[in-house]
Amino acid sequence: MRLDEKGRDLFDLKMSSAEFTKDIESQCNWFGCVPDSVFKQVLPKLKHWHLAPRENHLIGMAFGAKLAGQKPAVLIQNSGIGLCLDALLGTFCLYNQGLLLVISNRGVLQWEEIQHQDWGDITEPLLSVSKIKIISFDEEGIDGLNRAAKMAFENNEVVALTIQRGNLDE
Amino acid sequence: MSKRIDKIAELLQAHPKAFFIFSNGLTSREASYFHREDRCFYLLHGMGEALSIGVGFAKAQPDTEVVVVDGDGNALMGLASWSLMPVKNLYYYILANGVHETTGGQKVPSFPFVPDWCNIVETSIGQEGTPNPPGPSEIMTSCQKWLTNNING
Repeated sequence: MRLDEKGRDLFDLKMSSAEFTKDIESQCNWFGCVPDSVFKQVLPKLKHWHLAPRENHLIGMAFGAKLAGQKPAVLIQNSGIGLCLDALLGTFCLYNQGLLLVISNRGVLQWEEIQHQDWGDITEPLLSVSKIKIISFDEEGIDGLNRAAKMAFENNEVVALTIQRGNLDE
Repeated sequence: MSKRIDKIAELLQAHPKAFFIFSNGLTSREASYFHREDRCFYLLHGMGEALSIGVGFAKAQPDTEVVVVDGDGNALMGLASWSLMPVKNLYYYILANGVHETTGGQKVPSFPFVPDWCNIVETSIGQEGTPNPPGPSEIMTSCQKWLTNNING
């Protein structure tokens, strides 16, 4: 753990947003996002990405792109799982297609706003009960990102890469 | 007023080279039972997502004509995805009979607006008593055959 400029706890910085962008672009070729501040520095560095109004429609778009031969990655806040789980189960999971699901795990740190705290508690259990494999970027860093993408597209499955606050520069 | 299955046949004929995405429920059931084609993707679930899937596909393959056939109940569930339109190579049709027929005929609210890229096709109430579409692996295998030969090969 480390401290931010306000003296609050943050998880360790695993890599810069520039390095993260470069690596994820080497693994995937279609990107979509419902913006979250954790990805604030990543999004402008991506060569191209698609904006969706809600996470469920982002999953739909990514599934269409996968049918069209792309390797999709979507970047969402953990609360977005609540909006997109049915779309995930009804598309990628049902038809056994690969997706890299990059999730900012908000609400884990004590100082984070109260509206994020429930999602901090339930994100990993919810993904687990949904039979979605989880890889922790906080624990594995770039190796975890590469492993998650490889698993997603070699095994044709949805793999979640969870990112803690502080793992990337905001 | 025409039956759903007759309108589906007309759309397939009107877009002979297009890749089709059918929404889940009776739309996919009747399309897959009466007019099964490899160029068609039949959604078994993913309510309200037919259009967003079509958008993702059409943008990734801008030289391919893509047709999404939705039901009116499904379309309303996916209303936020309308903000992703228009897409130049994507045609969007809503088979509208005014009810959620798959789930027992509950009335569907009217559309708050209808953009010019949105084609409402009125159909009669009534169904053909078709089974669930083929399983997901069968749908995917058929589609991938067409996609490999026409796009991803």
